[in-house]
Amino acid sequence: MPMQAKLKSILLTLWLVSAAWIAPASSSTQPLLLKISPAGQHELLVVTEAGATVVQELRSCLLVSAPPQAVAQMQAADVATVLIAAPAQGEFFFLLHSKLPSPLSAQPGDITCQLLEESVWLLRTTNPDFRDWLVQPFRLKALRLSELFSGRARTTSGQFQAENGVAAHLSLRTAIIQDLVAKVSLERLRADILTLQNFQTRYTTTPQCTAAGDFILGRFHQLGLAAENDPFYFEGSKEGKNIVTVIPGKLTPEKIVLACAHYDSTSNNPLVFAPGADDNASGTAAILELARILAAEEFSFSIVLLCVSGEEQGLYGSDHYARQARRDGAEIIAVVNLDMIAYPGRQQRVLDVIVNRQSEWLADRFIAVAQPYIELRLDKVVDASLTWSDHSSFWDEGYAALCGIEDSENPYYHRTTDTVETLDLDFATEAVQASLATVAELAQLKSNSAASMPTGLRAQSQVSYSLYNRLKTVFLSWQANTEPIAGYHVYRAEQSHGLYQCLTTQPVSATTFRDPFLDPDKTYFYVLTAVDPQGRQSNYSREVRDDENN
Amino acid sequence: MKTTSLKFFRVAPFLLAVLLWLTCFSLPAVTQAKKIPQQRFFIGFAAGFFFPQQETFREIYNHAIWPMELRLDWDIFGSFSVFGAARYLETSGSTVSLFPELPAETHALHWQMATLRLGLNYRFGRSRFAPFAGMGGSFSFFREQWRDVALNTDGKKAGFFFQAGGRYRLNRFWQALAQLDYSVIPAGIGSRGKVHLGGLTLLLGLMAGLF
Repeated sequence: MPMQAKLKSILLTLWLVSAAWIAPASSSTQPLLLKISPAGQHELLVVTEAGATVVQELRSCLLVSAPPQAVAQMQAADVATVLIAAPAQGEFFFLLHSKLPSPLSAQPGDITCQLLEESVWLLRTTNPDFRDWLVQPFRLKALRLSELFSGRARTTSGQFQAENGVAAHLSLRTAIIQDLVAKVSLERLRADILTLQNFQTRYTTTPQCTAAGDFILGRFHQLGLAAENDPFYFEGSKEGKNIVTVIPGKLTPEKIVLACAHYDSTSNNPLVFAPGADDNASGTAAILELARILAAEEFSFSIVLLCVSGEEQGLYGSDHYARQARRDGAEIIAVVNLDMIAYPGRQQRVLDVIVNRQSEWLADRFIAVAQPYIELRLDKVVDASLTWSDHSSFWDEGYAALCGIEDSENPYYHRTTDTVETLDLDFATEAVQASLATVAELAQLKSNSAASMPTGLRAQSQVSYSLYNRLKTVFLSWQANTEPIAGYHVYRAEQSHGLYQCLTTQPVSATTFRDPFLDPDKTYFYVLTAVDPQGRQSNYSREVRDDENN
Repeated sequence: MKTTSLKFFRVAPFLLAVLLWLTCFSLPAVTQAKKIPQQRFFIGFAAGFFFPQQETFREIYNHAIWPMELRLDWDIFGSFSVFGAARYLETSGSTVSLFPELPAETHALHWQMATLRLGLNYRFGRSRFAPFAGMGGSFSFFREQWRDVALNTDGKKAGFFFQAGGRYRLNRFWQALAQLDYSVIPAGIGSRGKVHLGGLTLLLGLMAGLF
């Protein structure tokens, strides 16, 4: 370790020891908030080994909660740590996104903002009205440090790799999904955005926001869906509510595809007028449109449609829902979050698909499935630091999630001028079509094939080794369909429910399949379809892991 | 692991042929020399059987392995001689399944190894039959190939060896050779942990005194 780092380590240790003596209120085991940079694989590994927790992965650094004894361990491993804070009871911590040189309109003593990296600040306060001091536009994500400090596990980015641009099977149901996509109505989107805008404000905690929630709930009920309010509390006694409905799956209802958007809004005068047409009546209208079209269809998996509030205050609604889902063991295979999908700007018509590394497969699948139906460009953005919307709450709970968002700077963002007149609803329509196609595909819209879904799929994997190399071979077997069929297609993905690649150029008639020459260090997932005499494929079979029957 | 090209394996037989040619065509000239009291420089060829030390190696390459060696011996002083050798072996085998209880999947394999050896021998006595013992260092080039998929590993590793044997003088120029050696060649980490390419080799050969 260089001398400078050693000196730094000694000083930090001395500071920690003296802090423990001087401030008895903060116990010596109270975790500290640290900034670690760079944010590489080595740092992630050391943080994990030291028993620290990644609170947030940013572009250039990690925000880490660590017990004091872990700090020296991390420094000994040549990880550069900077002490940010020793959080105390009653303090709120937020990640704040603001491009201004100073995000505060004044410098009150009970609010501090510390720049972590470009445009990203750590806001620390005991003042519940701190938002009054912030200059718009800004975005907030609440950091629930108290729960982290009580030992609640958080996930960090993993090593998952998704193949880009694979010549993959796009959809079994191209024609059926095409029909669904054609049902997306620009006029309905406009009407719903206008209705939401006409609540004047949907700032969480206002009666108008509650009314907007009731409107969404009523709409779900009108469609014949069982919907309910999901209330939550934040920052003491402040209350918000999510609106949630489920289209139950017919074959595997415990598996869930979730589409969400926040319906709350904010502006430079949030309690009075915050129309939030782009942010995020556009996303909310998309969820309503998905509900209208998908409610009449049958799927293998369940589809949850979720409209959350509290997003503008710090992602409180989605955080509440995601944590509850994790506690209940919900099998959410994918989350599609739509936030600001109606202002493409003048330069280009691009919808960014934001994912973290764990969710990269989802972006690949979104683009592969949706791009054929739309003209706007879909760009995958893999960046775990883009935490400014509700997908981030699901990332924090280890779920695969993406955020569909316009690739432009909306000048009306978080202003009273964010109204429907400024929007490009053709763009929004295509964004909704893309999301609809993906959700329908992920949830496995019922196929129109005469062949029934194959059953009894089993997988065994064998590893063959030489002195220096190993290869995996996977053996699949399944029960034969009883009705007349042309054969079976076998599909493989490298993530569960990921982008399936068809392994069979022609339907195979046997009920066994051998998949050789595979990487033994990877796990593969398989499904198969039965093909009817007209060439139409059934729904996917149950997915199996390659070594499930070893 | 560093790799070497296939060129080495093409060059080795060529060198072998050149040395054999030199041996054959130089012998008549040597035999015509009238007064050579004792040959001090020998060239020889030997072949034999290799028994790999590592069980994994034997399990994978379960066919007999017949190494060949071209060697040069130089009696430098007293009972000591320096020797150098180029040894080549190749064999075939097949992959082993990690889970014997599951359906097997085997792939054909091919193994090649060329080893350059340099060492010192001590000869016990100067009678017609002269036992010897010695040791030295080696440098091996090896290649493992999967026949049905492009999965090759090339490497080169240093090692050492001990050997013992005897030379039997047939006539003024020719000597028969028998040798048993044990080589140690640690060769990095393989698919099942550390790889050891050494083992026991029994060689029988013929040496020709050049001068």
